[in-house]
Amino acid sequence: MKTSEFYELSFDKFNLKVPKGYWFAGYDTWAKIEESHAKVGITDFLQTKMGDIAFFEPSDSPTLEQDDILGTIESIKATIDLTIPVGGKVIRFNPQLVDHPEIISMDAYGDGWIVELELSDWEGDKAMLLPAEKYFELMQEKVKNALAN
Amino acid sequence: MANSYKTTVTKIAKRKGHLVCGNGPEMDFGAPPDAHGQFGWFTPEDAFVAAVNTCIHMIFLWTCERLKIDLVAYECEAEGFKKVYLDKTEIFTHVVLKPIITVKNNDAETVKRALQIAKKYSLIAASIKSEVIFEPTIIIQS
Repeated sequence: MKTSEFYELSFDKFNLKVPKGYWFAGYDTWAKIEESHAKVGITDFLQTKMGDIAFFEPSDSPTLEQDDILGTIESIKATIDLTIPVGGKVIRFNPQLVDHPEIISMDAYGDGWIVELELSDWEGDKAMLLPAEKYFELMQEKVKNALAN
Repeated sequence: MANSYKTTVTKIAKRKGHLVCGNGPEMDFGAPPDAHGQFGWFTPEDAFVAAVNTCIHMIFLWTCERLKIDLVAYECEAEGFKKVYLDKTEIFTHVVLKPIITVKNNDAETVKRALQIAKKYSLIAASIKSEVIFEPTIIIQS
């Protein structure tokens, strides 16, 4: 992607990106909508905050509703349950994450996608999500709070 | 979480001092033999190389836990290499660590990744301008 396709925040040694055109949950996951399908992943902010990703354990549920747990992600520093920003039928989890979960750290918005879904209620889910510019504002607040602690 | 660490040194002889570490240990120290010190003294050069070696050690053990590496044994010799400039100033250009790592049921690539992660997350390795180089020997037990 070109730089102009991102909102970017640089501080310390970091450059956190938020891609335009994606949709975001306040809990730092994203959805990229492609007609009736969506790819879902975690944001640059979350993967940076977590540190290097060590494992991803996917949910075994064939369908997921918005805000369901889509899997557990383990990093060098933390283990968290990931919440899905959109609901639908699971088409596939990213097969590359089985052997190379570090792809999430390397390319959170591209090759590091986590799950692909057939959307069940995009218009309903969309009402709870943030466009990139709004998530970028939220992310800046989160960074400010994280640095203050 | 501590954001600072403290030590105190006191002169006790011409080329010797006493070190009190913030975490409790105390020891005498002095210059190395090539800088008018004596063999057997704990030196700043020892401390520097040991800081890298011990910090990498601790973070590597932590990384093995997080990557679910079944670590059987870890031993590491570290050596710091210095350069002396024309004006007699000196710098450690690089520190070479030669860990001998024995693991069960893991592949060498995962162990190498753990070493790189340990280097990245090591406070000491991340803080120095000397290059930190691994020359590992990895033994896989079935």
